[in-house]
Amino acid sequence: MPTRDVDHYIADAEAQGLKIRHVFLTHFHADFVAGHLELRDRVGAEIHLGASATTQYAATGMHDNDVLAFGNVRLVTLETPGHTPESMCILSYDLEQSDSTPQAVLTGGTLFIGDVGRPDLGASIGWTADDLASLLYDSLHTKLLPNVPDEAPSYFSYDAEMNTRERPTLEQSLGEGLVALSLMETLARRDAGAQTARHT
Amino acid sequence: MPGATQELKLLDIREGDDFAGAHLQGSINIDLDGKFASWAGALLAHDRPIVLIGAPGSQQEATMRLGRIGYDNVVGYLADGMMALARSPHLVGRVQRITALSLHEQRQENVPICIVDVRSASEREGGHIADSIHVPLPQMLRHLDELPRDQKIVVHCAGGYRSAVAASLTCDAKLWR
Repeated sequence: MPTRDVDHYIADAEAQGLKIRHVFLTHFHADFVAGHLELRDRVGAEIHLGASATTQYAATGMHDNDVLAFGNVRLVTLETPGHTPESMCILSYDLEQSDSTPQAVLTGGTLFIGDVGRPDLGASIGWTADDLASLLYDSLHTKLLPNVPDEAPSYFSYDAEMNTRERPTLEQSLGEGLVALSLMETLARRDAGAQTARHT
Repeated sequence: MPGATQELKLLDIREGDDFAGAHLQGSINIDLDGKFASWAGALLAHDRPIVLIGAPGSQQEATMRLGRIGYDNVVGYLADGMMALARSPHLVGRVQRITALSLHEQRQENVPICIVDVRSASEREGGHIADSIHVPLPQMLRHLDELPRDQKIVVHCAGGYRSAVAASLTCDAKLWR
């Protein structure tokens, strides 16, 4: 699930001598903008979503146990409805280590540290919290728990630390750019804005 | 709409009660303790500088939460928060809070009052105050100029968060009318 500013993904890939061919959107978001379309347009990547997703752009629907393999890596998708109906998780195998045990799982909005994804955000598309919570319970118990070994790290989508790492501009603004302004400076900003409004 | 959003630069992130008690004139109030980013995204321009007013330390959280929805336009915060206004009482604005009973009594006495319901359409369908007008908060900026200028304006929602935002918008509008 990429952030919308995609330069750093492209730079990271280039630094490793890699090309981005596939973008996985683990789920839809109501509250912020993902960068899958930007990555598609910039590098021609194919977009992957949970199979139940309906989109206005071309995307490959991923079912349970669909496989994408390249080099020594195998990615296996699991449909895990709950946080959203089309949520999915991705098992990541390092075939040099093992072809039967995943080394990591990408849990999107389904599973966090000490918490699970919120099932109560689907009202606008007709899902009750009870229905989504029931789906989430089943996804956790029938998809994730049986397939992910305890020692495999989980990487989820939202996290303050990850957010900071992914957004160096934000980190910079928090560390340096956010300055204390005097009352005079603050008023100047307000009044400059008020003038603009009057003149439009 | 562009004209209306351009001057929304001073963002007070304190609780609605605190804002009502005293605020810097021309600021709008979106309480950090609530659906802050959602309402900021609905009401603020993403490409205009924002100056924050709030308690020490809350500015960083506000900047982070704005950043997550793509708002990288926080340029700073008012040093010392509201303490900066201690010697400038002429810059302080206030919002009167009114109980349902008091509102009822004033209407009985024919005090001219425009009641603005800022809830969603579905909430309003479930019942509303007679003779109130309906301006859902997300659309409020577009309709500020249509609010009467010769009456008291009383805004309400369901729990007080949105009406605090709406009240700050109407206060702000007075500045540039």
